[in-house]
Amino acid sequence: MLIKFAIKNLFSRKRRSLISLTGISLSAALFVSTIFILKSAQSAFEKPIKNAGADIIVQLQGEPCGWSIVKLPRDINPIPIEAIDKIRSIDDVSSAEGALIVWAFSNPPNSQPAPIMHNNSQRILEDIKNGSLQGEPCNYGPPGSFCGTEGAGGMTNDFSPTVAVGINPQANELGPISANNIPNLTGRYFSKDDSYAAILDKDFARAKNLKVEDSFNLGQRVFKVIGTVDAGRDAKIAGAQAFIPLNTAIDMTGRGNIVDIIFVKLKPAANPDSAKEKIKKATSENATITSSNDFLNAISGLTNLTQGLMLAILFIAILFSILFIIKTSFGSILERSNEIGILKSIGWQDRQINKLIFIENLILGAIGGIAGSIAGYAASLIYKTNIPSMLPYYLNPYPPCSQHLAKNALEISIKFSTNIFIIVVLASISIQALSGFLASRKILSLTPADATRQTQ
Amino acid sequence: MSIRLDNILKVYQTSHKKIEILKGLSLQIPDKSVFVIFGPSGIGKTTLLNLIGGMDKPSSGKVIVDDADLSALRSDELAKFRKEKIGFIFQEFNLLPNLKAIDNIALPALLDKDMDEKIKRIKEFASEIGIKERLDHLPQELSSGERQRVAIMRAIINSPSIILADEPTADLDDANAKKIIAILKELNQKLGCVVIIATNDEKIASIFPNRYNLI
Repeated sequence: MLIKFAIKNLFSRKRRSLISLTGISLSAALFVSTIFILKSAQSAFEKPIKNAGADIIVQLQGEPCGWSIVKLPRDINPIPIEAIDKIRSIDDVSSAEGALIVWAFSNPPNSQPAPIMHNNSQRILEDIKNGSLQGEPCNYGPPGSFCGTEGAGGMTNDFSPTVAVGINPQANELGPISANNIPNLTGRYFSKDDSYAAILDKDFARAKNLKVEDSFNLGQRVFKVIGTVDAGRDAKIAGAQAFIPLNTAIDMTGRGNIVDIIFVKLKPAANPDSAKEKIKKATSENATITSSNDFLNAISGLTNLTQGLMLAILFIAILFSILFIIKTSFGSILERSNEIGILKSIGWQDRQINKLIFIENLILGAIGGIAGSIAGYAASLIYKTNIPSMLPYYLNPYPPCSQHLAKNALEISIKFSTNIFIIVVLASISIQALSGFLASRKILSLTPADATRQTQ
Repeated sequence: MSIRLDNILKVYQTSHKKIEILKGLSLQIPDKSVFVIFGPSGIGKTTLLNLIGGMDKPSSGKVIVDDADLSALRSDELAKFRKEKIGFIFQEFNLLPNLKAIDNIALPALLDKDMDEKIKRIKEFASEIGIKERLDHLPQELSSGERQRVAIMRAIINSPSIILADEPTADLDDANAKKIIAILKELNQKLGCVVIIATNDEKIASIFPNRYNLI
């Protein structure tokens, strides 16, 4: 009966109920959307590293290297292979594995017929020939740099490099693909005797019309396709068009025993920050060390300061929302002092009036919390569709003219969390009920005569 | 039902001054009577009714109803006293505007187990006083006379021993005023309860033999 009366009360005071509901819903929506986005972003940022089986990625960036038929991408610099063993010997490290990402050109610029390049592409080719060009082609150049151009007689020369990653065939867990992590493999995985064997990305194989058992040219070497993998659309660290054995990649690069990316798995109890410091000491003070936590900065460009600022703004917004709920609740109760006075006059006990107010606030808090949570979820879905997030380029360094895009897009997939939903609804109910209780205490302490007199 | 007031004083403190009313008032109200408290506006009639009904406490003195000193009762005991013994008819009706007439009437019995029985009984009374057809209306859809009758029905739903009526005819025309007075008289006789009427209307006051002039 009291519930029925409480519902009737809420419906009959539509304006006040709507104000209260708006306040609760906004607070809940703000909280839910922020938490959902942060959680989903964190999950999206963790995915590429987790897919590689690692906790930390080590690279070295520096001056772009000069052009050669097989070269390190862009400004990625070599790391001596001994660094892997040094990293493995660190207390916090469970395992480490290196890979060598290279750009392998098939048609050198001096091949015949000589390509006719557009605009400054011609100059670049000449500079490469005379050796004066040191690093520019490794960086983002104008569209078309080292890319397919029209040759004499309408022939097409393909100058775009193939992105190849040399991997240790013995690695079981770590790396873009590994013995235990081969997404949708057709054909077979590497054996220890393979040298000029390649596993191709399915998109690349389709674009080049290559199948298992076919041969193809990579860095002026002939490779046999032993398998294809379909890694889907998820962002990949060291994702490649062609995977080849690490030793072959090292041999083709001709720069000694090097890798240019190291995947590190930490022990469960390890402190990532202290591990990073130790890894830096073991490799280079200039090493780029990336963990999933660093992605938020790297991807969104947010600094710690702005993140802190965001959290502070969120905290203040939620605080103001709670104060708004309390103020609305107080206003609502004080506005009803005459009604409460009448209820007291006709013999209602204070606890019965308290119960009535509690039920009303329970209903408001529940409806506001549920509506706000749904609105917050919807808002986070809008965020998802409007804010693209990408892996930092150095983790998957495709050339700008690649025949198909690097799988760098981090899809922020907003997942509805029942736990958060329940917590927010319970918090809305608690705050609303508490503020109602505090407000009603003031009126209930009055005599019925004083309470009815308040608004008369 | 014995009602006795001993040496009452009520002080209201405003921001500027202290107002003392009912100074030294002592009064005994006969059982089962219709008792009129007569006096001009602002003299303290409503305050006196509030004190008798346990809705306010005197600054000094005692209000004793059936040997119980109301000043000594706790808040929940006073609420119980008001619910079981008192039916209050407010000067401005004090009906909840968002509730239909029948819901307003049922309000004092809302949490009682025998609410349905009480409502059934009160509906019979509604027929007697001619507002049965108006029970599903909101207070603002009723005339002053109808509102007053709704207020009376709410006051008697718990069969009180004391009915306190504060200026029950103030906003009514003569015909309606007569009807209300007739209803109050009937209640006094039918329920055997004490009816205390506060009024500044000499015509109303002169109807009843038991009166106290507040000056």
